[in-house]
Amino acid sequence: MRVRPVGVGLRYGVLFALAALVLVPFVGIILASVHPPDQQVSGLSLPDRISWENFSVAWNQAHFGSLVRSSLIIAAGVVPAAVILATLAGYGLTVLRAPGSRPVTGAFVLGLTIPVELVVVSLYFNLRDVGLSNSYLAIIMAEIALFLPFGVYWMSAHFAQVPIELVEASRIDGARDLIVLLRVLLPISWPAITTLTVLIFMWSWNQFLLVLVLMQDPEKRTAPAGLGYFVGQYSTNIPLLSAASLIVILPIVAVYLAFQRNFVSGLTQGAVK
Amino acid sequence: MLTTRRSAALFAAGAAALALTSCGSDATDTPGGTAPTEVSTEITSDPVTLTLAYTDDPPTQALVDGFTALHPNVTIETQQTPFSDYVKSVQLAMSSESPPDIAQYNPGAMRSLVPAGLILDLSAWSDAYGWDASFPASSLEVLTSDDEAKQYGEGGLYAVPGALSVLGVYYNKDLVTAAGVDGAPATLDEFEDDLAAVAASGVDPLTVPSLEVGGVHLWGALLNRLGDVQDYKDWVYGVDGSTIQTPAAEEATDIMVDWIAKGYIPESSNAVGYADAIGEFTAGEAAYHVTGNWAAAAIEAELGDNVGFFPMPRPTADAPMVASGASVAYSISAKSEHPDVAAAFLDYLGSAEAAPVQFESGFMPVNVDATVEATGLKADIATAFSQVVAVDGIVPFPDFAAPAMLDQLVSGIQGLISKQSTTDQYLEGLQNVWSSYHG
Amino acid sequence: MADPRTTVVARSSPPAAGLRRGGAPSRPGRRRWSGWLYILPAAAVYLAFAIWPTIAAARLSFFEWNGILPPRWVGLDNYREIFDTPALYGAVGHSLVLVVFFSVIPVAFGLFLTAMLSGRVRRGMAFFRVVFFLPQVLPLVAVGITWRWLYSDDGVVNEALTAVGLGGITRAWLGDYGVALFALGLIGTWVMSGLCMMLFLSGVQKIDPSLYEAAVLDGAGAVRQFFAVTLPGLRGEVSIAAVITTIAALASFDLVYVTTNGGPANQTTVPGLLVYRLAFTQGDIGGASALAVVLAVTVIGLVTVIRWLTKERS
Repeated sequence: MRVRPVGVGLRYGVLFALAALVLVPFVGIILASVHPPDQQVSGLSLPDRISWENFSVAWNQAHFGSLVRSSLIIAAGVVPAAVILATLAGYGLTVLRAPGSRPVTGAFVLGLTIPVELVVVSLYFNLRDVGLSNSYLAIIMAEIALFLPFGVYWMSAHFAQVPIELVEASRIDGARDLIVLLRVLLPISWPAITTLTVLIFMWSWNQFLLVLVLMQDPEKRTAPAGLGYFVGQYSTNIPLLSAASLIVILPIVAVYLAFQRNFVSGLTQGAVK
Repeated sequence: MLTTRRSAALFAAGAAALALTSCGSDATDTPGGTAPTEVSTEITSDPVTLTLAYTDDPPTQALVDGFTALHPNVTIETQQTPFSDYVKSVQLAMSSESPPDIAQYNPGAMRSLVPAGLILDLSAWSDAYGWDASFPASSLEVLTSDDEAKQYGEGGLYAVPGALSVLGVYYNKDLVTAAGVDGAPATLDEFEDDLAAVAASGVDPLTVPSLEVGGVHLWGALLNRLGDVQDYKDWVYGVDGSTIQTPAAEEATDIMVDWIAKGYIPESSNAVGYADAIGEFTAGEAAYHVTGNWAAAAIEAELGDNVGFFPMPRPTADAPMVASGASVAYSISAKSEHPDVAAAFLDYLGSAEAAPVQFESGFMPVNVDATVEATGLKADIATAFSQVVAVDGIVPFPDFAAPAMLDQLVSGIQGLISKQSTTDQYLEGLQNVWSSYHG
Repeated sequence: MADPRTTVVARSSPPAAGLRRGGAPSRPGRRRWSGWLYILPAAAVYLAFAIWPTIAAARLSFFEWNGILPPRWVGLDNYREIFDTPALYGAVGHSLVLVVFFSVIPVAFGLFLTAMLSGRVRRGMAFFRVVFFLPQVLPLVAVGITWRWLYSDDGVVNEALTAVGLGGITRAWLGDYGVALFALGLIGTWVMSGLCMMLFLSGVQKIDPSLYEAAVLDGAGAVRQFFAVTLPGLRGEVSIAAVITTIAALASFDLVYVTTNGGPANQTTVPGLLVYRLAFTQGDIGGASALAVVLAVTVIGLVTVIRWLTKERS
């Protein structure tokens, strides 16, 4: 049996109290964002009238429209490429078991502990030397490289769960490696691939330091990086700042709510398996 | 993660290997400085296109438009970057294969361009055009340096100013009047009395954005009024043996410490950003605010006639006028194909034609002989500025002293405001940064 | 690397080098050179954009370089400077304090709640899971901006304190010399606690109920059951949670950049912030690289310690 130190009522009370603590900041900025522009908003307060103006000001004048577009361009470059490369590598390492796959896997896994801070400075100078500074391509390639360790790890772990009979049966039928991957493994791998896709999208969307350093053209910054600059300029205009923050947050929250099972499994699966 | 221990070992082995392989790449410093001798004040009438990288607008775009109106064959393509990015990226832009022809100069961020020979020494044009006469001497000093860019104030000229700025005190007229204060103070003692009167009336006397450079501005303004100007300039310019640990600097710092103790500068200032402080000041939450004339337009837009400006008051009514100031200055790339055209643009900056453009955009005109008509806040600023310039009293900001000085100043002032460090510790910290760069 | 908050969630076993045969131990099969065709694209990108910059950073840390003039070999001087300069080693110290707030407190808090809530809370669990994970998916820049406002002089935090009669301790939290670092750390606690709790709550469901029954038969009370059964059963989850949150604490650049920028008086500097400053405002690329290497070694060292501490010992 399980110990039940507290009653169900108290249990839910604690959970709801904690949920409230998590949600209060969101409620705060949502309320602040619909206050009239320039109004001083210090605490939680309801506006006299709901004003959507801050969103249009942030979107147009503060260029959040173009910042969000940059974020999407970068994500569109990073996500498919990283997922495909990780899937191929996971297949080569775990299913085909290329010679030397253990140290190679180890080298990828090592990348999981390395902070962005370690590579960003030298990356900046390396990219400048090859004329790739200030370009989407540089950021896309760097992000792919940064997310590959997790991607390769994740796909390898997934392929390691696949019963080997499936692969061997199709090999006996004479299928080549690529056919085995496409016809046999992919159809049963969509949940793992979906999870990897949403996680990489999230990391790409949220990436800050890399973009801050590698992209000098303010028009081509991503939304979070733009927000980092925006705060210095408009730190007093709380309604506008809140609206800008919400513009940056909303896409990722929407993806999270739509794919929350994938997020949760991605963030905890390794431990739960 | 799984293989962390092995990874760590790999990592260490890799690092050791690197240390070995990189031994051969020692390099000696190359002597710097690129000084053209054959220059012309006549420019071509063929179509020419220049690129110009800058951060401050106003005044840059208006100046470019003013120049190209006089020289229709010249096209100047401008590239604007926000300040914090600009100081980070301008070195890299100027050292690239195709740098902009003209770049807004920053004495801190662009130091290494001088020894690398990437920006031109303008001395020959200065002689040809007679820039000593058209630009105020005090505004050129900080743009002059030796060819290692260790010491400023002498040597080659690497930029000329396109607009001048000056630091001073803004005050909310209604608030000070309500506290029984009669306008701008004439001496520092009077200013301290005014602050006390305002505090007694229940209004915050100052708003100091010490999360960013605001506290440094206040300290610098006090120091410049109390100390020997030449000692201070020597220190900023990196003259051998200079120190900031002077009685005057101690006195200035002590005044600030006193204001902190009296609550004029609360500890919460350390969480107040630059924009926050302007917001508080224009919302009438504080009576005085120390910043530059670059903020005048924003402040006037909110407070209208209810705001005035005065330079930080002198210790005595007959002491010379001094104020911190800087300029929006421009340099020419050593790789420019049209240096004479670029130099003609620089010459335009000091001309009488450019003066109204500069004043319109909220800055002080470079050409000191130019007269400008103004009312209200702008008139206050123009008056203060002309008094200071008349005695060559513009001194540079303290953060030009070394690349790491700005961060040291900001955190040092924060230490004073949180009552964690003493005057001596603060000044010693500054001097350590100075010595490690210049020593 | 990825987003440090969520990097690796893997348990201790590396992906097996062979496929599982219906759960049986993997069997050595034929190794295929053709596998390299599939590995190469990923390996090339990883080498060029992650490994090579890492090597370059390690190399640069032995030079004095401002990004323009030729670099000059200075041996270990950059490292010596880190250990001689309070502002530099202080930043490493601050990040260790942040580990307490990002990692130790959320893990302890998560365990406490798990002990308290370990009965089956089924209804509404999906809702709580969505809510508690939410801070995990947000850009830290937005989190920082929001908390900067909550912490301000007249912000929500002070409002709440005043409402419960603690008006005396209100202050501009991020501007206070003594508490700014802790205030910053609590943002990390806010972000990380939900993740830890959800990890543990799902982990505890998988503990064999017969273990609890056996403990009860031995006369164990609630507290002893927790330490004898629950905690050992959650070993894997605790290890993962501690690793993820520790990495996040050490890579807290985003949060610091938008809230305090290292202030007041360098009380909240972290290595990432100083790497950025040294490299891009002070032109000290060598010093920045050395500090980045020290940071990476700290991360690897702490992760190793955590994994050692939580290793199963028979």
